[in-house]
Amino acid sequence: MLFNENYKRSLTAFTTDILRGFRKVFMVVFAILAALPVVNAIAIASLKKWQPQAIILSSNGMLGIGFFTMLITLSISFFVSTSNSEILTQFVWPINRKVYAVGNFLVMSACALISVSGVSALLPVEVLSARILKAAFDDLILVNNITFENFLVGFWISFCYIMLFSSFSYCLGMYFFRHKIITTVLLILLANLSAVPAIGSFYNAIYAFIFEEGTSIMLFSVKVWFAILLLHILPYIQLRRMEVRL
Amino acid sequence: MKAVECSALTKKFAKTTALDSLTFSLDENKIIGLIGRNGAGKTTFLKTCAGYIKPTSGEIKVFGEKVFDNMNAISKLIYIYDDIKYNDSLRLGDILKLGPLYYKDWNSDFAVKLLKRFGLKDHMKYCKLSRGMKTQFNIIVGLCSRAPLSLLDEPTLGLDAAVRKDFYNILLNDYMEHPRTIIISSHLLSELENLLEEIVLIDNGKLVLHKSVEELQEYGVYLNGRSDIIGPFIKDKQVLSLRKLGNSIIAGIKNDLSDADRSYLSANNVDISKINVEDVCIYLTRKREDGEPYAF
Repeated sequence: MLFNENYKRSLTAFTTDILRGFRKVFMVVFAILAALPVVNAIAIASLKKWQPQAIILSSNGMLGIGFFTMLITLSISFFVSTSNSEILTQFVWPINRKVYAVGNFLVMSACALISVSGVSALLPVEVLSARILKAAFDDLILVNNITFENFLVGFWISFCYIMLFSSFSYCLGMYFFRHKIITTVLLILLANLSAVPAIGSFYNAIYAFIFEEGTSIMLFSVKVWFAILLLHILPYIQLRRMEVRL
Repeated sequence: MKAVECSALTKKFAKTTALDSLTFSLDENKIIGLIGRNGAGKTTFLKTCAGYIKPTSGEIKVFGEKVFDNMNAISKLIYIYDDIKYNDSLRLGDILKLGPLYYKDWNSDFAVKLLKRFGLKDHMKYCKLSRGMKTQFNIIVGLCSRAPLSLLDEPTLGLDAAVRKDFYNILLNDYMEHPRTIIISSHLLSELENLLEEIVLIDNGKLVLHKSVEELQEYGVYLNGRSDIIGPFIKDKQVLSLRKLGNSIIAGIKNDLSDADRSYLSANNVDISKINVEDVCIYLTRKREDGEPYAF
C-alpha cells in the first residue's frame, strides 16, 4: 500500500521539501565548523609567540565538536518540526499521516548521514591546518590516532546516536505539542522518580542494557535501532488520529 | 462518479455541532458554490472534505473513497484557504517548484504566466506578502495544481474588485479548457452567480438546499402592488420577505405561481419580478427571534 504511485509521489515530494528546508541549517553549521580549524590554527600560532613551551595538538577535535553540534542542532530541529504551526505547513500539500511519519524517518536518516559525512569531510581541513602548524613550529606535538577502522566505527556510532537523540526529540515533541501539561508533568515525574532507589536502578539497568552491555557493535546497533524505531512508532500512534487545525 | 458524497455527515466540536447530518452529493466537473452565513459550517465542511478533520459520525467520500488519511483521495484534491502557511523560508519560486512534485497534473507554464499577470516575483518570500498578494498567490497554486477537486475557501478575500474580476475570468477560462470539480465558498454570491453551476446552501451546519443556479434564479418572485390585493393573495404562499411602503407591499414569495395566478396579478397591476439568487439565499437563512426561518 505504501508503494502505490500517489504514496511514492507524495513521499518523494515531502522528503525533498523538508530536506530543502534543512539546506540552510547545514550551510550555516558547516560554515561555522569549517572555520573552526582555521581559527584554531591562528589562535595556536598567536599563542606560540607568548607561550614558547610545547603544545599538544589533536587532529580529531573537529569530529567531537561537529558530532555534538549536529546532535543538538538536529534534536532541536526535529522537536520544533512537530509543533502545530510546522505540521500545518506540511499538510498544505497532499500528504497523509503515514507519509508524514515515514517521510520524517527518511529525512532524519538523511540528515544524520549528511551531518556525520559533512563533519567527517571537515577532518582533512583540521589535519591540514595541524600539519601546517607542525611545519611552522617544531615543538608542536601532533596527535593523530585516527585509523580507517576506528573512523568507520565512530562514523556508524555517531550516526546511530544522532538518529537516537533526534528520534527522541521528535517523539517528545509530538506528544508535548499536543498535550503540553500532561507531557511536562510526566517528564518531571519520571525525572524525580529516579531519586527512588528501585526506579533509579531500573533506569540505570535500561541505560546499561542499551549502551554498555556487550561490546559488539552489532549488538549495540540492534538495540539502538530498536529504540529508534520505537521512537518513531510512538509518535505515529499520536499522529494517526490527529486533525489538522488551522 | 460523484466528486463528493456526504452521508449523514456530522462534525461536533465540544458542545458545538458544526455539521449536522449533511447528506448530498456533488457531480464531477462542475463549479459549485458553497454558500452560507458566517458560522454556517462552510469551512468545517471544506476541511472535512480535504481530510484535515475527521467526521464525528456519518461519512464523506471524495471520488468514491473516504477522505480522512486516504492518500488516494487526498492526492486528487487541493484545499486553498486564506490563511495558508508555507515554510517561512520559502520564496514563491520555491513553492511553485514543489507544486509539480506533489501534483501530477501541475502546470508550471501556467504558474509562470499567472505570476506575471498578478505582478508577483519568484524571489518574494510568501510570509512577507500582503494579504491580497497572498490570496493572489494561493489562487495561482489552486489553479495550477489542476487537481480534480479544488476546494477554494473564500478565494477572493482581500482582493480589490478589478483583481476579483480578473480571477473569475481566469478561473472560467481555465475550467473551460480543463474541466474539473471546483467548490467555491464565498459571501460574494452576486459576483459568482454567473460562474456557478450549482449552489449548496447550508445554515447552522444543515443543508438548506442544493440546486442548480438556473433553478435558484427561478426560485422566488417579488410581487409589488397594492396591499389589499397582495395581502390576501400571499396568505397560502411561502413568503420569503415582506416590505410595506404605505398602501403598497413588496412581497417575496416562492415561485409556484400558476398561469391563473399570473393573470390575476397582472389584471390587478401587480408587478412580478425575479428575486436574485443572493436574496433568495439571504431570505432562506434569515432567522426570526424564535429561531424559525423567516416567512411572513
